[in-house]
Amino acid sequence: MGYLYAITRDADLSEEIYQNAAVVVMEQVGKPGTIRDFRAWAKEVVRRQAFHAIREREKASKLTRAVSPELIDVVSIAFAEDQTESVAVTSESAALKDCLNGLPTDKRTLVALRYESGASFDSISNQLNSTPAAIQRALSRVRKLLHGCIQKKLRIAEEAS
Amino acid sequence: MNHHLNNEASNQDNVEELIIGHFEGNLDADQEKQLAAAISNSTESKALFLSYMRMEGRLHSLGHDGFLSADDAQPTRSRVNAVNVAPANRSSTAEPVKSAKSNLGIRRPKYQQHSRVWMASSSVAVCCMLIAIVCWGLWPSSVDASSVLRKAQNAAAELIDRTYRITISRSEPPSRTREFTINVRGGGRFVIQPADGAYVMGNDGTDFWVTQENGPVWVTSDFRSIAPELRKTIPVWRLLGLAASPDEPLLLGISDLLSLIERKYDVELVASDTVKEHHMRATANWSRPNYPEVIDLWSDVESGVVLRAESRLPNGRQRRFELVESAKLSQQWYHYSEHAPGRKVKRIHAAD
Repeated sequence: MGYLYAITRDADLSEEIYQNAAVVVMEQVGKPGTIRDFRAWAKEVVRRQAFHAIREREKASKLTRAVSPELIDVVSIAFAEDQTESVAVTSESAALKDCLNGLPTDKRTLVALRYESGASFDSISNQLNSTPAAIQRALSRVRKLLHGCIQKKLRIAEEAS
Repeated sequence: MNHHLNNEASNQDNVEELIIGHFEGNLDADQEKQLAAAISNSTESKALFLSYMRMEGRLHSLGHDGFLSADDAQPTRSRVNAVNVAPANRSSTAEPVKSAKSNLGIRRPKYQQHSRVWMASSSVAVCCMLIAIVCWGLWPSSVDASSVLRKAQNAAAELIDRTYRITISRSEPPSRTREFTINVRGGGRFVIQPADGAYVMGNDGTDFWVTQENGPVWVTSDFRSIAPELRKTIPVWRLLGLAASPDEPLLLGISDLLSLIERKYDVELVASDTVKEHHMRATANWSRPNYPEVIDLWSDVESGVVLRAESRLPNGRQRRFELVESAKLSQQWYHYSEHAPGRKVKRIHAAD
């Protein structure tokens, strides 16, 4: 999902691509094993589905400005080459949940408004009686905070093991 | 030297700002070029981007599923409890045919109904929904929301064995039908076998195991932690991966399934052909390609046990679940020794 959002910046479209790719991948479950590297193959399925969806979206001209093709390529290559172990990914996921639970209520509310409701900065600022720029800065700080918190928890866990 | 280190730190800070700006959609063309160059030329920047990317993905997923609000930290349990202590919200069930739409707990705003369920994953759709519905042990004999939740909670707590026959078919060519038998019991225990007997897979409450005819028994208690290459040595490992996925709340957790229905489906009681069965229909109030649009359930009026269930996906696929029997099985049934006596056991640990 992260990869899809990185190249589409559209949560709904990312979700749609993800589900379509999941259908393709799931169709292979139980079939004779002709795929040698399942992980790489699944990534390629996701990438192709994403590129197809992006082209369709561009045709429909629904988005104001798409991610540049150059950045999409670079991100796609990084995603394809990413060898992060699933154990590490799982640990990151658990750490994020811990970090979210540790957020003060106001920051947690901000995250929920942005990611759960998909609210714009304008909309959030209206709800919280602030300005769009202030909301954007606050969200940036929360992202950094969460990312730093995750890294810290992972370091602690690594040192303890 | 210090100056050099400071520059590096400053560059990383700049890259981090670009990454955050990218996910906010605030970068201009030049900044996107800078970010692309940083990812291409710096291992640290690439790693930083990927970790932010994963975090963004998770935040969107959690948000889609409605798990980000502070009061949603334990969404399923909190809602179940809320219904239990608020019987006044229950509706009358006097009329034989009526909608239960308004009684399935707190309704989320429309935008939250458009969410992805779980990932599933993972990912996850076909087999998970299959097993999830199979594990739908008790369905209420009425559509009253409180009694639905109470009965389901009780069912989840009971160690009752049920055997279902599952038929998965698809209408589009090439048409294909697959049949499985699955025994399920609370506590995550299950045994699943395809009709051709190519393999048997299960969980005895502690370990996942799988074996093929005349082959060894592969056993693991921590499948998700096993190195990917090692996983692939296990037969039917993809299906086992789904079964073992902790990220798939649909799998065996009845309370999570109820949460899904609560949020994503409208339930109504429709006319039944016989007075011995209730016929219920759950209609999705969201749209996702690999989740059923409609689930039809026929349950025993007295016990509430699901006798049959049929689900239809937007892609034309259908799944049918039929209760074969509820006979008590031995505890040992869920252990591999019952299905592969005397076979060599290969236990796999994450550290192998």
